[in-house]
Amino acid sequence: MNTRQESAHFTPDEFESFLGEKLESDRKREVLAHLLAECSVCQEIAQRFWSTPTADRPRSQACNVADVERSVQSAIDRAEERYRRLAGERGEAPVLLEELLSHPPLRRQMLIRHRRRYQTWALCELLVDRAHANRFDDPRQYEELAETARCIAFTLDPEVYGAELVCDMRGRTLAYLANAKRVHTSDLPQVETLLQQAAAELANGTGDPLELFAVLAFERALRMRQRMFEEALALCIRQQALAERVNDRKLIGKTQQDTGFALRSLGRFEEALHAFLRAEESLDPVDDARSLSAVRFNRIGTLDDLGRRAEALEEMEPLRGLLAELGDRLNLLRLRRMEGEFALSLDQYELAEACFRESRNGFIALDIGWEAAEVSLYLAQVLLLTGRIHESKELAEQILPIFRSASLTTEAIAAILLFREALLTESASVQLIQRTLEFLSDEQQRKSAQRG
Amino acid sequence: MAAIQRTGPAPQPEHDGLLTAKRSRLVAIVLKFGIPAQDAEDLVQQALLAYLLKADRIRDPDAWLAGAVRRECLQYLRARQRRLYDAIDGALLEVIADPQPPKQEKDQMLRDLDSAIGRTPNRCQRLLELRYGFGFENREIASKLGYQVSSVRKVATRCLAVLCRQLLFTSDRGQGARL
Repeated sequence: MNTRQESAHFTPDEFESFLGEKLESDRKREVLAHLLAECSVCQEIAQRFWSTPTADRPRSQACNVADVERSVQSAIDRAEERYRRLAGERGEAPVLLEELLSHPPLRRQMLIRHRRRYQTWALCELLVDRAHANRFDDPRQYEELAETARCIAFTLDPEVYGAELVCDMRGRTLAYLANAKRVHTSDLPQVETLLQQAAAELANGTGDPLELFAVLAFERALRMRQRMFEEALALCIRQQALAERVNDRKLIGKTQQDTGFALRSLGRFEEALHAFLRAEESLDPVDDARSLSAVRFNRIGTLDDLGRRAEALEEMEPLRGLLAELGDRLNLLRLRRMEGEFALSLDQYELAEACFRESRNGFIALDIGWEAAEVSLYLAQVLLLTGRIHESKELAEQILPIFRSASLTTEAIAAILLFREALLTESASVQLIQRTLEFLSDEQQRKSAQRG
Repeated sequence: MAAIQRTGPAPQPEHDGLLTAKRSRLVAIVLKFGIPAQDAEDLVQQALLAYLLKADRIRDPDAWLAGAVRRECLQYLRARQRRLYDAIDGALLEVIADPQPPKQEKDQMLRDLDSAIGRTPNRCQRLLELRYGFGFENREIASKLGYQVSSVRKVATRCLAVLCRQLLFTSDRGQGARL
């Protein structure tokens, strides 16, 4: 007996049961037989269950507009109701945060695991933000707070927030913890592992491009630290696509800036310059003024890399204005130092000396020993080039205390001692200064990449 | 470091009716994806809650929310589609493994299956023959066809999708009268 010849066409309800594995075995076989025979009547029914977003969806799947409108309104009402219930936790979060931070880190984790009031989205989010705010000033605090945030994220109730959103928050806290460890420790394998765990959590999350963007941004920072610039550049391209998808001009601008850094590190200066220009176009002159100043700073440096020093000098004045508006004293000093470097390369020793002395004094006043010390080396170069041996010896005596305050590595201190000795014995040369500066610059880059 | 930073205080739905203002756009997306009204509510609600919880990190709410609802719709459609593939795959394996069905009926179904497989691309033909002709598991298929075990599942799903499309969207080759 042939099933196709004997059995009736299946109905939409039967096909729904077939899909839900609720059809009896014999009838299931008959449904399959009709499909295998490419029965046009049954195909038409089955096609209604074909669920692709593309144009080949049959007209029979067209939805009733009024029904969909009602559903969407109902979704809005229910989401707002759920959010209102959660809004209270936002108000409590700052108080809970202070309460939690009054305990040592290990006790915090115990409290989080055992007290439900700490197990909230708002507190977790606040901790992540507080942690990240510490990334430059207190990397250890950054790591501790990120660890606490991770602890909360893994106690969030999927029934309250939804399983996918909880995965988003787990991914976010793991990503920030990874970045905190990159900044604070040298345990790069652990950073890699945490970033992989973050990506795995996000794969089960809502697919929010902003969450994925953060993971990629931290991975890019890691690759830059590892001096894997090609890989960093590839990550920038992925970040760019995500930022464009959510139309976030600030993230687009920052990604272009990071693209510029990666390209500059690869020696692709022209492309880096374009990336910095695109970054400027994307950033808002008011809201993103600080990022904008960083981009312009790097653009000037890249122009210098390309040997277009006249253009670089032209760009300095507008940047000086912007930095002054922002009250960014530190970067004003850095700009002055850069101006000194340009002047030195153009043999304008008087201007160079003025720039170096001014920026050196500023760095000392701000207690930024490293940069004060570096500028001292440039100043020594000017003094040597202008034959002022006596003054260079005086400078040599001042250099060591400045460098000591800059928490240098043993290798850097050794280099400075050697250089100081050379100055005092009048055997220092411009080449020696430049080699010492290059060495210190590499050291600083390593430290800076570590901070992100 | 381009980390995501808060852009302002969280929205207060009771003040601004923000979500209601976005309703027509959301309806348009749901309609475009052909999501049944009864399933649309849960999908849209999930995207809206995510938006409300993350609003202070989002610079362009319209773009973000539209993207979130689109992703929810796509996930829904993929899950539904996967259900269809699984049902057909499961039924085919049952028929092949079941020693009971009348021989003539089973032979006919296998001939129809062979015919459908024969109209899929070569790469899928080999994989589907191993699955339905020899009852191979994915691991065995990977070994036989030289795929990585980690990737064979994806390839198998693609081939099953091609086969299902054959079964649902090709004409009945003039055999309707036999039914």
